[in-house]
Amino acid sequence: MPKAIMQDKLNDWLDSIASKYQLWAPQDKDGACLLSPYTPGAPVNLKCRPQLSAKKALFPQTECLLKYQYHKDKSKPEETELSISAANPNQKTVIWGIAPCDVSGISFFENVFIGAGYQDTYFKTRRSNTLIAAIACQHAESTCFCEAVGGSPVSAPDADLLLTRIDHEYVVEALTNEGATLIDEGLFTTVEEAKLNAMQQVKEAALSKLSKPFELGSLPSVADKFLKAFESPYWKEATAACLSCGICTFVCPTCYCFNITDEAQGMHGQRLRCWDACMFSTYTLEASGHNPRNIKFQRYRNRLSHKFSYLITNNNVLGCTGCGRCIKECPVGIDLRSIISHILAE
Amino acid sequence: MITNGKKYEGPGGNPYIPMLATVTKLYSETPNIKSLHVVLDDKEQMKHVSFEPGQVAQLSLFGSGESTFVINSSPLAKEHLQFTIMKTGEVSGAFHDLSEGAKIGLRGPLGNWFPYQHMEGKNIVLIAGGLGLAPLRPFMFYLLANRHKYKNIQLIYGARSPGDLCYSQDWTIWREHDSKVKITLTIDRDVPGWEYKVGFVPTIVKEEAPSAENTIAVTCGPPIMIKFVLQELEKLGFAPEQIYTTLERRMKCGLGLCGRCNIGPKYVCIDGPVFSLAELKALPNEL
Ligand code: SF4
Ligand code: SF4
Ligand code: FES
Repeated sequence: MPKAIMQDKLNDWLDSIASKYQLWAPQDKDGACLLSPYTPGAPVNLKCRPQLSAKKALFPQTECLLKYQYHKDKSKPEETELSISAANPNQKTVIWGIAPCDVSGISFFENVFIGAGYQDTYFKTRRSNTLIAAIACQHAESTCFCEAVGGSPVSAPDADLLLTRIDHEYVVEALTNEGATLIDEGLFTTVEEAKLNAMQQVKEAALSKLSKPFELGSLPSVADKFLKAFESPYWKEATAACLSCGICTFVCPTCYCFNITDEAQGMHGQRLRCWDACMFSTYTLEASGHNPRNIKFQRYRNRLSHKFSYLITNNNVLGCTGCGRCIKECPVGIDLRSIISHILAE
Repeated sequence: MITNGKKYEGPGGNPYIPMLATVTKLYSETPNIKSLHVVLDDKEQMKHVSFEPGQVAQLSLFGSGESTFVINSSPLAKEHLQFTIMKTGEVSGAFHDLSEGAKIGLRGPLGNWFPYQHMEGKNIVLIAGGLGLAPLRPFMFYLLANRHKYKNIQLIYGARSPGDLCYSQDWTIWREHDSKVKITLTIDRDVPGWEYKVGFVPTIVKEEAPSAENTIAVTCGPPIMIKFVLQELEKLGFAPEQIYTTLERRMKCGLGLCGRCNIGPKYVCIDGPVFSLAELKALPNEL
């Protein structure tokens, strides 16, 4: 049975979670709504959708993959020993208060990073130590289109808890047994029939707020259409204003391209992984000077074809959650909804 | 552990983590190309080393980074793994500066290989330019070790000048192997004392005109050379299914995860580096 918690008890609840877990929660920081590490007592904001997606909690912008150390025995200067140790990011974590589209983003990462191919040990370790508390989204923005890409603003099947706000109260449904352990009995009340009905109404109202900019059709047909549109002159036209700034990839919950670099400090150092972006021209620049995606329309085309074709072919998953962040944050107003509509109709 | 055709597991099951290894020998092939012999520090693992001709590995120089190189020693030899590195950037330059005994890391084998089983009973033409002989070297060792399974073998190999030809100690032996193994060498411009062909590789392919009948052609080298070699092969009647090549792309993870090396839905690092021309033709044109 769901439980309920009053708004003014949220911090008590979060403080108790934070005593056992590393906790991420949406908060107003530096004039923006951000998913940030929670410090006890800090005000949280459940009425906003953070500017950056939740991927950063499981796939940090920069992380250490391994540390290395060279050892030199001064009596045998010609011999050097080397040792390496892999990072093990196994901290127990709760990601709290994220919208269903961001939960979809995490499920997407599971498909790509711990699916059938090579497994990403770091993501896998983090994910298996993480619980997710989602919130039914009642603040759809004009750029949101999660339903059009198969999502829903009010259900998050891959989360452990689902919160629904009803006025000054939150109904909390446990979707997994582990999620249930987060519900601190003392702070919660039982939920009556009437409240369950109210919750249903809130969810229905949220659904009716969403726009559906296009009819996607079956995933294989989408993949096929994007592949067929590869040579279309439309790509050039649609991306003429693009600055190759990479903001769209930065805010996207499914963009996962990364770079690996070494950072040396004398005899020791670490190997780092950092977010990278296929929208940058240097991304595919080869040592010979050749660049298979030298022109910006080629990069944009690859980004969208990856999301709407290649991922379907390889992983049977769509690389878009409909969060609309790339539309909202693009400095030149490139709207992928119209690009998708165009390609689907071509 | 390195095993045939399996995924690279990595220490502790983490495929990002290299196995530690030692550079046991380092020598110059040409003024800007060096070969190195690498031995895994774990002796048991080294004993069971197994890779297929055409497979690559990621070599780590901790502090400088990682780079992809084809394993070019014989797939039948277990003493060491050989890599050949052209000095092009920071990481390759750092490898050139190593001395024997240097400690490095190795992830591999990675990627696919030449489908030699499908080539049994056929003539094989290998066409290479410059360092493009590196991926074909282990393949040649394989073919010669399984000589009875293949018909005529021809290697057409070219470089700018005699001093730019790699692996001279190998092809001088290969050409003595038997009467049906033919080695055709060429350089771009004639120099005094050169007794073989002169001309670009595609021109020599045209001149040699290998028959497409029951033949597989494999070509590796600079992209521009490959482009013209493919044209010549098609003129000679080779179908796209009869032609293989290896692709090079900028790579990082080698695991199909960092997203860098794709051509359409295929990743050069896990679905390649070996592709038939038929496979390439089915992909978006983004080479
Ligand atoms: S492509 Fe745009 S709308 Fe789709 S998930 Fe990424 S940021 Fe959201
Ligand atoms: S945010 Fe807009 S301008 Fe920047 S790379 Fe993406 S599409 Fe181009
Ligand atoms: S090198 Fe990372 S995906 Fe191929």
